[in-house]
Amino acid sequence: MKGVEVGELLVRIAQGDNVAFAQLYKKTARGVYAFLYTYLHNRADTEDTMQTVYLKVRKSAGHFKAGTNGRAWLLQVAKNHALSEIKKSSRESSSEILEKMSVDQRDFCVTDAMQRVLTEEEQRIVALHVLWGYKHREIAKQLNVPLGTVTSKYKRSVEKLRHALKEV
Amino acid sequence: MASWKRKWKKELDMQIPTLDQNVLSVESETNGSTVVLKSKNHRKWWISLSALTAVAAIILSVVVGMNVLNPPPTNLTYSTFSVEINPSAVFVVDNNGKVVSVKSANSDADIIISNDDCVNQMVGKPMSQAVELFVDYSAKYGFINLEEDAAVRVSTADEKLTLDGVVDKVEEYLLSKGVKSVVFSNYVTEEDFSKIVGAEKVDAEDVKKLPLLFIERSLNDKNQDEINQEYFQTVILGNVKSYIESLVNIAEQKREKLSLIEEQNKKIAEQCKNEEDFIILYDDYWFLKEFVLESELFTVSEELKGLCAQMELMLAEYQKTFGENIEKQYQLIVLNEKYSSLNFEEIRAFISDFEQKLSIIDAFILLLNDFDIDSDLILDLVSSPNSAEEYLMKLSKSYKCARQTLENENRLSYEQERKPVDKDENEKHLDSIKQNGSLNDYFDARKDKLPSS
Repeated sequence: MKGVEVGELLVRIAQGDNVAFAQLYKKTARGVYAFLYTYLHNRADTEDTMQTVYLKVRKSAGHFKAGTNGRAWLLQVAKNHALSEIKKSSRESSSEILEKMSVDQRDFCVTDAMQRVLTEEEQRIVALHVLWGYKHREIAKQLNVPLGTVTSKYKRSVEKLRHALKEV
Repeated sequence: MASWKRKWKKELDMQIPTLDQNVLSVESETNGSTVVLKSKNHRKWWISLSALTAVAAIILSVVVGMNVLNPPPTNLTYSTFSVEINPSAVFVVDNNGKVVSVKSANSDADIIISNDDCVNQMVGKPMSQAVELFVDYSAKYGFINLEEDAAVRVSTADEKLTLDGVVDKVEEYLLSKGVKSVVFSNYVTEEDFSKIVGAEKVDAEDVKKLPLLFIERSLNDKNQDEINQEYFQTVILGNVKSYIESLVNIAEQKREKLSLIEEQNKKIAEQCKNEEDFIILYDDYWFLKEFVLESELFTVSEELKGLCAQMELMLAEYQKTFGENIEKQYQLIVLNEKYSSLNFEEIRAFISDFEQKLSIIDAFILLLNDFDIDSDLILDLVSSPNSAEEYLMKLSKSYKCARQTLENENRLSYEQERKPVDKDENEKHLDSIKQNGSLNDYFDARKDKLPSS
């Protein structure tokens, strides 16, 4: 989904357009979920943070500057909330964290494979490219890493995933 | 799309939660003041009425403004004319000389006309400008060989249509590129014009109804097997294979140039050690350029200046050839590492055995990615279409590859500066051709020598 399209929906949401909000959720939920998951590593926290992120989007859409990149804005909101959730969960015991993680992935072989074989950064690169349609150059800018790193990590990630999924 | 991507998206759809009621009913903040999402009825009605009035006022002023500045067209008539180089296209113009439609008149022209940007730039423009653009694209993609003489025929069956402006503009363009040229207008009968355009009926309304691409005209006569066979030859063994080959050639050229640039950088680093007036922290050309060469504080030996001047030229040539600037040493290191580690042997073997390797192309995805070849695009294009519509869609994507291939192959020639040809000199060229027959005979003789399309 392009930054311009997300931006246009945010402007309409700021004006109270409920339909625009529903459209935004429909178009971006997958990408936001996957992006949050790369930080939080479990469904429970990711689902909760999804609610917080979209609540924030709803409330703060008026602060989005029309004409700027809506996609980047939305991902920044998601990232901020993911990081604050991580800070909160650093206070949880390791057994609570492990319990959350173990419930999750039996039915989701691709998601499980990504968790097993890819680093956080690799998961993020794959999510941004596959779900958000970001080009490698844009991912390099978003994650503040060199373009060559993004390209080679993406290739390696695809190779690892294919290998892992053949084993399933 | 790769199956794991599809599967992943389905898995995510199963995991995404429904939003809580709290989220759906929250108030939205706008510039510090709260905008209530559900407003009271009477206020809503008042806002609606005033909004409606404002919108109506705006629309009215725009419509009035448009009618004043651009009165609706009255009594527009249309004419058609063709431009043959190879490639060939047919244009529809209104009586103000503006292009309203352009269609491909042979399969080489499909490569140009399938480019939406090109067509959008031509439609709405004066005919001479639009044709000049078509000729420029032809040169860019190597259809006009700028090392040789050129010939362009502009034909019409409409006696009232003046083609002088088009002929002059195209001739001016080619002469400025240093190309001796024969550009002439050709008034013909309707029957002859339909042979040139390759269509039975050639008045403006009929040409407007023609498919955009020449290849589309014969599609209805073919069954799916014939379409797939043609697709296999033209797209898979043609455009796709050439596209991969051209990108590999570019990678090889880059590897060579980068290796030379690295050598030069090493020479500069060595020379820096011999310099008496300064010691620098990082012995690379870019650091030297920024902190020493452009500073008045240091004396630099002639030898070092010479090496740096050579480096400047090499970097400028690299930029011109590949469109990339190398502005720091680490960029050179990264690029060198990338291109020197590519497996050229394997990819050359893949290309030479392309037809056989198609059935296991999945195994080559990573290799293609290493060469910055869009493997998703290649996988899409090497699978046969299931319908005529899908054929056209894939064909269009493959034409994009073909344009890139042709542009890469012709870049240096297209961008090379040449001394313009003098008009008098070109007149002599034309006179010598006319001594041996008509310009039409000359044009047809050249056309016969070209590979048929």
